[in-house]
Amino acid sequence: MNKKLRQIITSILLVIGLALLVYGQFVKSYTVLSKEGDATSADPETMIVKDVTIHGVDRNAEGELFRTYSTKEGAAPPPDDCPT
Amino acid sequence: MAKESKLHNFALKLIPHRLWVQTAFLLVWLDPLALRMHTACAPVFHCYACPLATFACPVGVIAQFTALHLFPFLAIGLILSLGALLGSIICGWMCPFGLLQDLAAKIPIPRFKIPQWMGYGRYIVLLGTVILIPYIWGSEHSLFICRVCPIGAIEGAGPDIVTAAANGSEIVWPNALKMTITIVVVVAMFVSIRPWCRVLCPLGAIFGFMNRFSLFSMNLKESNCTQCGHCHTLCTYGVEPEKDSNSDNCIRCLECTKCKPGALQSGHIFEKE
Repeated sequence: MNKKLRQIITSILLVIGLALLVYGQFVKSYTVLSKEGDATSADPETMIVKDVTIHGVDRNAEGELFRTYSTKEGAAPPPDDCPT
Repeated sequence: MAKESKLHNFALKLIPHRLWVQTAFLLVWLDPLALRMHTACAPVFHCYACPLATFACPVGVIAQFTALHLFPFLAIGLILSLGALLGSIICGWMCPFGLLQDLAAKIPIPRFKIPQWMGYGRYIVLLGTVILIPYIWGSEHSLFICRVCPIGAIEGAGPDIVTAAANGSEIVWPNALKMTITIVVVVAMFVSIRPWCRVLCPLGAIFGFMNRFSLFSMNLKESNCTQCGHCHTLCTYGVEPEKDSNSDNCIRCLECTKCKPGALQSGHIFEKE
């Protein structure tokens, strides 16, 4: 492949990558919607909390909900459980 | 002889210590400070269900977000920017699962060669289990990447089983398909070199593809190349560096740069000929 073309593609990829990183980090920042205590207000059936769709929940050893994650922002990873 | 760049000379000095560099990175991914920064991704394959994972796995994050029909800005941004900077250097020098396979490869037993065409398997895994299946059927599908990932079985399910056994609680075994894939990959590690990276790794597919466009690049100085084929012997990965020095199958271990003075050099894409 033409070296000039490769250089252009490299530059474009770098700019897009960095732009996504900045956008993901600072604009669509990660939020934990609720923590232990108030998470029980989340409805795991409908997955709706305060009009924001949540993409995941963390449960404690007893299976109780203690943390929910927002998907509206789209920047954070989902809860770290291991699907078997 | 072509003039050797500072980067090339530095890389030559570093090559004998690659295993140590990989080990140093392993310490970063294994969360020695218990930071558990799972809201950020590492650029390597390291399951964040592992109790010792500092960062999230970018493949797991992409698959989960695809299942939710959301765009994973941070994961894609990280992969694109680091891929555009380094290409598959990440596979060869930073990935913990790569290190595990490299250690297995140290055992002096005969190994079979994996044909280059099998590298396309990585793209099938990427498109199938990370993008299409999650997008269409969601994360509950049995072929969703995290449900079949051997790294998840080793780093996530493994410690879970040990903990459950130690506590006397009920053991939850990974599903049969995940167990089978894990056993096949682990056995293959001892009869071939880096089988996971070469045939199945979806992250390796992305970084390998970006080899052609990365800022760090392998440059063949044709005037110095005698076509002796020595670089084929140096490359345990089966790549033919003098034909395609930025091949998508290359993990950039840089061993080939030891060949004939100056014929293959590590450099950058904006370097003058």
